Amino acid sequence: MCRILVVDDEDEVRASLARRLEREGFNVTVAASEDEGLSAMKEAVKPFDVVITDMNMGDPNSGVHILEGAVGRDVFTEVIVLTAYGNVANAVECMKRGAFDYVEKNLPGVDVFELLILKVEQALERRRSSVQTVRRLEKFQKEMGKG
Amino acid sequence: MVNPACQGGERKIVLIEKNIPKYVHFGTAIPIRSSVLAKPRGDKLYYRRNGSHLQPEPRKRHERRASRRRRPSGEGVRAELTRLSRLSQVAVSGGGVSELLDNYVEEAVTATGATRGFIALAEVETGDLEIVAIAGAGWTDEARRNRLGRRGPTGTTITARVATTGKCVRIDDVEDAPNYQPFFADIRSVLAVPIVEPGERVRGVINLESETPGEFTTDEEAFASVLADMAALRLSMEDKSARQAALIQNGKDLSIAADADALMKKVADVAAEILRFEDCSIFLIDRATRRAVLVATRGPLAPQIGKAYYEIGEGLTGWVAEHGVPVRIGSPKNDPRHKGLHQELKDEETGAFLAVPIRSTTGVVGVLRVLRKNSTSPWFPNDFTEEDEQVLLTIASQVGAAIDNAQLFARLVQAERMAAWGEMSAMSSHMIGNRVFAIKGDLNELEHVLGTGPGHEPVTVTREQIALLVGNMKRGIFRLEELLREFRDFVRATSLSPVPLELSELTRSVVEETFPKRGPVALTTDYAQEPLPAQADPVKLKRAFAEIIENAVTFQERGGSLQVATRRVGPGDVLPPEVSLPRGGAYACIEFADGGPGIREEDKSKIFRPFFTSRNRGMGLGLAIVKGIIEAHHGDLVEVGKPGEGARFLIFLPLREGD
Ligand SMILES: Nc1ncnc2c1ncn2[C@@H]1O[C@H](COP(=O)(O)OP(=O)(O)OP(=O)(O)O)[C@@H](O)[C@H]1O
Ligand SMILES: [Mg+2]
Repeated sequence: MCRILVVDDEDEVRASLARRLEREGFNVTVAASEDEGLSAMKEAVKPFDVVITDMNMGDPNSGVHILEGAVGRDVFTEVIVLTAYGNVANAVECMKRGAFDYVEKNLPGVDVFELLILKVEQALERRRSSVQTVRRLEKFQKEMGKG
Repeated sequence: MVNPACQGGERKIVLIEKNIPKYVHFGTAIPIRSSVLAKPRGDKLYYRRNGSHLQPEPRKRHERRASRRRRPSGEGVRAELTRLSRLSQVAVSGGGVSELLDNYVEEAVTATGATRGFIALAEVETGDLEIVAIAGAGWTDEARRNRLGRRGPTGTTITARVATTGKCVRIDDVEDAPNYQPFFADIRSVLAVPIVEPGERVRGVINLESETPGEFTTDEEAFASVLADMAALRLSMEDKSARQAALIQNGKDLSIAADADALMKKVADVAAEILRFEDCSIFLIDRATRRAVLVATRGPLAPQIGKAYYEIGEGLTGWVAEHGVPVRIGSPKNDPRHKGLHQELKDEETGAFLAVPIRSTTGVVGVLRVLRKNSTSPWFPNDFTEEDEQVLLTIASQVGAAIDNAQLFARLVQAERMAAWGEMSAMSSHMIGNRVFAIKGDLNELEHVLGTGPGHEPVTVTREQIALLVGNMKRGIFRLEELLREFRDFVRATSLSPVPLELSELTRSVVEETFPKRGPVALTTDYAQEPLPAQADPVKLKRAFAEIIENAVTFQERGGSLQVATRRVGPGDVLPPEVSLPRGGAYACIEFADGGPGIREEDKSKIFRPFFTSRNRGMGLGLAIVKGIIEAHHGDLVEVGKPGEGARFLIFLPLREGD
C-alpha cells in the first residue's frame, strides 16, 4: 500500500486531507509541525512514497525544510507543497529543488481535494518509473560486470 | 443565518428524525413535510448515484411538477441533500456573489416548479430594494427595471412586505387575494421568503411566482428558506472579509501617513468605503481648550474644519466625548441630547446616526461620527447595526493609535505594533485560507457520502456522518468569525478608558471569574496587604489577566499549579533586568507563575509577537494583546521563568500615589 505523510499545522486541514487520502486507500501518517514531519520521516522504517506539506507553518520556508528532509531520507520520495492561494513564490522555489508540484489551497472554481488526488497519483507514477529506471540501470551494470 | 420566519428558531443541526422530518443545512433546522423527506430505513439511508440530479434536465413544467409530487421518499431526501451539498459548495467557492445569486434563483425556480423568480437585495445606504438576479420565463429589461415599482393599494409590493416583516408570504391563488396586483399578467400563485442576516436583519428577498394556483406548499417554502439562509451566509461572509481587508489596509496606511490632515482624510475615506454612509466627521479634543474640534469631514461642513467645535458634554458628539460610549440611533432630532450645532445633514434628512469615541492610551481623545440619510424606502430601515458600530470602533482605535504614534511616549509602544500590520495581513489571509480550505474538505466529503462526487460508487451513509460534516462546516465558519474578533481585540488593545481602581481587588475578581475551580490546576494566591491604587482600564486589564490565566491552564492540561501574587515595588527596589520602565516611580507587580513546561530560552523573545504560537489551535494573538494593553498603561510585561520549571509572567503597572 502506498504510504503518504501529511504535514500541516492546522488541525482541520490535516484531518480533511487525511480523510480524503484514506478514502483513496492510501496509508496516511500525519504530522502537526515541521519538526514532527522531519522526525516522522527519519523514524519511518520504510521511506514514504509521497509527502504532502504545507509551505508555511510558522516559518515561511517550512515546506523547503520538509523537502530537504524527505529527499535526504530517500531521493525517490515525491513531495507536493501546499500554498496559500496567490502565494506561490516559495513553492516555485521548492519546484526548483525537486518538489513534484505545488497545489494552491482555495484555488477558485476548482475542487482542490480532487486536484490533489490527481497530483498524488501522478507523483506515485513518477516515483514508480524512477525506481524502475534505477533498477534497470543496476541490473544492466551487474550484467555488464558479469560479462 | 437563522431564518426566524420559517422555522422554530432553534440553532442546531438536526437531520431527518423519525416523525418530525427536518431539513439539513447550516446551523438551522427547518421542519419539512414528510412527502419530501424520507423516513429513514433503520439507522441508515441508502443513496445511489444518479447523474440526473447533478444537472436537472429542463423538463416541461407539468412533468416536473408531477414527478416532484410522486417522488419516492428515499429519492426525495437524496435529491434535497444533493442540491444542498451543491449549493453549499457554491456558497464557499471562489465565485462572486452575483454568480452565486444567479445560481440560487435558477435553482429555486427549477426545484419549486416556478414560472419565474428573482432575488432582490436592499441597498445598504439608501434602503432601496434592487433586483440582483432573475430566472425563468418572461423577463425583459423593462420588466426587471419596473418589477418592484408596482405597488398594490396598500402601497407596498409583496417583496417589500417580506423585507419589512421578515416573514414568508405565500399566496395560493391571487384570485382569492383581492389586494394583489400582479405585475406579470399570468401569475396565479406567489412565494416570497426573506434573506435574513445573522443579527436578524433582513438583507433581501427571494421571490417566486407561478401560473398555476397552489404551486407552492410548505415544502417549497422550506426549500426556498434554505436557499435564503445560504445566500445570507455568503453575503455576510463576503461583507466580513471585505471589511477586514479594508481595516488592515487602513492600519497600514495610518502607520505610514505623514501629516495629520492627510491621515484624517484617509480615515474618513476608508470608513466611507466600509460603512456606506452619507457623511463622516472627525472631532479631536484640543488639549488646551478641552473642546472637541472638527478636524476632518467629507461633506458640507468642510469650510468649518478647525473652527466648529463642541464643548465636552454638549450635544450628542460632546456627550460621546464626555462619556466615552458610542451613540447609535435612528434620527437624532428626537434625542434629548441633540443640539444640532454643526450638521452635515438637516435634521429631517438624517435617518441614522452613529458616533464613537476615539481612544488612545490616555483615554478619550476625540469622536468619530457618521450618518446616513433617511431611507428612501419607508418600509426599509437603514439603521447602523451592532456590527457597524464594532467596525467604527475598530477604525477609531486605529486613529487613536496613530495619534499616539505622533506623540513621543506612545511612539515606542505603537511602533512595534504598527510594524506588525504587514505581517497581520499576510497571516490573516493565510489563516482565513486554511479555514475555508477545511470547510471545502467537508464539502468534498459530503459530496462523496451523498454519491454526487465525480465517479463514485453508491455509498452507505449514516445520519450521524452527515450531521458531523455539517457541524464541522458550521464550526469552520464560527472560527472565521473568531479570527475577526481576535483581530479587533488586537487593534483595540491600546484604546483605554482609565478609571481609579485598586489592582489587588481587580486581580482577585478576574481570578475568581476565570480560573476553573474544579480543574486539575491548584491555585494559590497572595495579595498585597497595602492598597495598590492605579488609574487603569478595568475591562482591558481583566482581558489581559484572563488571557494569562487561560494560557497557564491550557499548558497544564494534566494538572499543575498557578500562583497569583500582587505587591508594591518602590523606587528603591530592584526590578528584573528584562523590565524596561522609567526609574524612580512606584509600581504594582502582578505575578502569575505556573508549574507547566515553561518557555524555552529561544522562544522567550518571540512569545509576545502577534501570531507566535506553539499550540495547534492557537492563534498566537493572546500575549500580543496582553502586551499592548499593559504598555498602553505605561507598564511592562515580562516572562522570567526557568524553562522546564514553569512560566512566570510579571506585570508592572504604575501606581497612582500621593494624590
Ligand atoms: N503559561 C505558559 N506556559 C508555557 N508556554 C506558554 C505559556 N503562555 C504562553 N506560552 C507560549 O507563548 C505562546 C504564545 O501565547 P499566546 O497566548 O500569545 O498564544 P496562544 O495561547 O498560543 O494562542 P491564542 O491566540 O489562542 O491565545 C504559546 O503558544 C506558548 O508557546
Ligand atoms: Mg493564549
